[in-house]
Amino acid sequence: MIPTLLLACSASIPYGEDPPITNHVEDWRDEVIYQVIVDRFANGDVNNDWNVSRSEDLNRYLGGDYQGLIDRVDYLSALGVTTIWISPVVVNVEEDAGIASYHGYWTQDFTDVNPHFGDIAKLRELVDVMHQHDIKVLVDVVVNHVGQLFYYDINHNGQADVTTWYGTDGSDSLDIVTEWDPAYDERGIQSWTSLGEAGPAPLGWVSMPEINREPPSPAEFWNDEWYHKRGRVTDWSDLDQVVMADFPGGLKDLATENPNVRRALIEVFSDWITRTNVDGFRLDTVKHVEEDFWTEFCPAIRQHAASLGKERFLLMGEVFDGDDALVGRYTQPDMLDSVVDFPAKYQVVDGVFKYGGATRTVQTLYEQQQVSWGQLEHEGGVGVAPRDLSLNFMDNHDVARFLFDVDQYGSEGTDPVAALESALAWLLTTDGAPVLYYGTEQGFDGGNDPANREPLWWSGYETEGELFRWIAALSALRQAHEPLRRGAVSFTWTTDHTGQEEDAGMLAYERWTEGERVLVVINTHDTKTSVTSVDGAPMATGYAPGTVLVDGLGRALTGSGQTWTVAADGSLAVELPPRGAVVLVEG
Amino acid sequence: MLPLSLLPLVLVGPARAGVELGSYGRVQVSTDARGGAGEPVNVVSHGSRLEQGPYLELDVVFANGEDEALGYRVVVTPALSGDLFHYDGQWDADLALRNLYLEVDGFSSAPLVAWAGARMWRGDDIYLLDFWPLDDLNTVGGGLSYRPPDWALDLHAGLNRLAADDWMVQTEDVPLDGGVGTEEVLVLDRQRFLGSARLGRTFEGQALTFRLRAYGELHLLPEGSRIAEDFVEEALPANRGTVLGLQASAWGWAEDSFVHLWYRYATGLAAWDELEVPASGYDTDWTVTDASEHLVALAGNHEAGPVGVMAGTYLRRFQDADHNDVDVDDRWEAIAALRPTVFFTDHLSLGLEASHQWLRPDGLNPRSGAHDVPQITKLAVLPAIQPRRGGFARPQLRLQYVYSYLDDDARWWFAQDDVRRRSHHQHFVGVGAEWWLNSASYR
Repeated sequence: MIPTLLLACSASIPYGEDPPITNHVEDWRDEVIYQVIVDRFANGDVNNDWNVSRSEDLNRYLGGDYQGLIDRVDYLSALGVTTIWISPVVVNVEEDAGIASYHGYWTQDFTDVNPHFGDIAKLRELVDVMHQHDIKVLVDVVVNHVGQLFYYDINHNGQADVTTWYGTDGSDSLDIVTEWDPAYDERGIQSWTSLGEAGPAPLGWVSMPEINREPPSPAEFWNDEWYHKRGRVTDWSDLDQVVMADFPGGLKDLATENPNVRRALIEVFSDWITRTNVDGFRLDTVKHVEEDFWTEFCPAIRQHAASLGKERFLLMGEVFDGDDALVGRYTQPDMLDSVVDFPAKYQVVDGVFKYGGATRTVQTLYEQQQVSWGQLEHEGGVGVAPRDLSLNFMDNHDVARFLFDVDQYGSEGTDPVAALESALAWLLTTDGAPVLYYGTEQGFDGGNDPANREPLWWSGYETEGELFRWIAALSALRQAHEPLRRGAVSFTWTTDHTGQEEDAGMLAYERWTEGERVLVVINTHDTKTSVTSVDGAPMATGYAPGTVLVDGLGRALTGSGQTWTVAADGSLAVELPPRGAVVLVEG
Repeated sequence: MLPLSLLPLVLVGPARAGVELGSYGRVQVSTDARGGAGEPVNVVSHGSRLEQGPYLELDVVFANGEDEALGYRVVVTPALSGDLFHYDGQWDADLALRNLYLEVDGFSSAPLVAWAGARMWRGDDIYLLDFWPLDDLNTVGGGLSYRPPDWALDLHAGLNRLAADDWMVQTEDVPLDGGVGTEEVLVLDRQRFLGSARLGRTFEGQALTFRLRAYGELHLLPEGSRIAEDFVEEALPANRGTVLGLQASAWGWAEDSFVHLWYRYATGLAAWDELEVPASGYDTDWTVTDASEHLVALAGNHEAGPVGVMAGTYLRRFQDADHNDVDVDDRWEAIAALRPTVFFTDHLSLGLEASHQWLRPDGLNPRSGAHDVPQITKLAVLPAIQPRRGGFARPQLRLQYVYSYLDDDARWWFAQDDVRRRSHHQHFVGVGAEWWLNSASYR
């Protein structure tokens, strides 16, 4: 006891201080990113289970925490994950209208760790443990808004009124009119008395410590002028509203054009790099913030990271939009390193893999993005141009899971799991870096929020399931073959055919570097065996005649893979069963 | 005479037949010298007793006297705590029965004493810290003591069922069968078994008496289940705990002078107070079996003529059962207190008390986000009036001024807006009294 005491007196505790800054990323295209809602991954410490729903109501906290991630790091490694993207770490308003902030997007304190998940030491430990397992950590960051921290005192009575009206819009609906979340007014929310309008509504800051609805921290955010005060968005096509309205749920929109707000946001989020040694940020609601905010925020964050010695700090963003031109705009010089690829989610994942659209779409979008996304590496950025670092995903916390959509809306003959496996084959072999949503590997099939936020412990963390093994095999292939990570892309077969044509549903592309070439062939058709050949003209490849190719994916899964030999003219006809996929490697 | 802190261990004393009254009590009013009430300023589990609030025990003892073959003694001790009516204007108080038991002897040719009921079942304390480092159980049960010359073996078993937090007992309203309305049913009902054994050997010398003691406890809590939410039943696992401890004592070299040295090793449930539901520190399966506590403590008093010196100190290591290695709940803590007193006359004395407390958690202070190692130093001046010379002479009327210096880390240990967060310097100026008069628990 005494020697231990002496040791305890002299030693600082682990993770008690800002960590040394270390670098773990060579090229972000090497990564397999795994998106985690911390509350839903694993409960490693029941002592922070405040307000946890024992009935596992998906709108409440369920108990997941950083210790759970630490305890399950081997699960991540077995899956082939090399980067985790964790939900926001900051302190939130605890709940609102019976729904809890388990997701982390309702900031109250920009500077402290949400106690449901651990503390700053535990977060540092998480980052360190992940780094020890060669897993990088991205933290989700919200700059657009804070939680529902104030109300608009429209009637000047000094309290937040909530009223229920029936049929106010002429319909048979029950409407809730609330001073917490009034509808948009471009003038700013106006007050109203019995004699009419009475000018801008004063903001009602409140102290409700029981749900942590407290003024924001740092205290400088407790400033009426730092918010747009225009109320809740009602028309997503109105650009002013998109940028300046409160987010649904009364999430108060920060006046991010205000230089002081920008400075403060840069400071608080720079500090998270210093304090935790994380490897990048995932930036929420990018298109809801003035574009020029990003040209100031991103360089400043990069500069801070560089000043610490942090190299290739990733700034990836969420532009929740299918308009590729719009999405690409946020990857232009001085802006984001990349964005999660919503156009590809809609056009490729949904259009092709879920609902049987033409594979020509895959090539068309790829070629389009080579132009629409940033062409140049950012100064002080990650060393890869945004157009080469698309972050492809199939689903996330804001959309229904792949299996749900296919099951609900897919064609009658579609096997949802087979469709998912074919989509995963594309996701983990196409250009850029894949982003997997937790639970995909366990066949989770939840619909929209909150059904798509299932606790992973429902799966028992099974690692022998079909989907887990499928992803693990693809991840291993990706690690073993550089072209699948960093190689150029050449489409060798795409088609408009989706019916009973010879090549209906076929998709093939080569990924190649100077020394190696990999050919990926996928049949996206639900019911028909197809081939990369039309009218006797097989697919041309970049391989030398006589090259023997083996299905690396099949070999990884079963121990042996089918082989193909490239014809004398360099062509190759690959025939695959419905939803079949092969990753052909030499030898 | 026996040193005061040994007296609570005496089982059946020679009691006069009939009814006897006794009491332990303390009362005090104080100011923080800023207009507010004086506040206790501590960061360790068992800090200075100087700033304690009012507390009263009233003992009523019914005994049949030592002439009877079968001696008995019924002890009833209601106790009250909380602010006084004359202070807060509220006609209320917190009331508890601290003793309610019957003790008998003479029922066997062997020197046996038996008791049953509710009882504070305690050993020796550190007076300056109001802390029983080794054996301190509050229990409802029974015990048997065997007291041959120079030896003492005390066995005890009891039960408790704490009302707090739906952890040991939970009731639920269910629809009334065959009627309208509800009826209350017990859906969780699990009792903690508390068992203890204490073996002591006394070595009487010419000028000095030594005593060695070994002590053990066993805590057993069966599994159960409770309603966590509507229609959700939650299993609660069994838990257990043990205590092993040693005590060495010496006294007799001077009036009211003694020294105690303790070591306590507790595991599982026993690492917490038996009247406490662990608020945190659970393993992921909701057991606390892996929790542990090591404690070394020392208390003593020496009096020589007009001077007396009282001392108390402990060092404690507590580790809870969760897997968190950077846990603010896991901690080292220590305190040392020294109170020299000068007796100017038989009735007037002046005590000076100095203490220092230190806390080193294994994790970050959630209030500051930093690894705080709070320390508090106290200096107190204690002029007093008592019936005779001696640090334990009671009743005692006293003034007291306590100055506490909190370092930066100690201030951060208190909540925002707490007066103790605001300043390094805290004052406590009080006037009060303390007594033990024929007390069943203190003498």
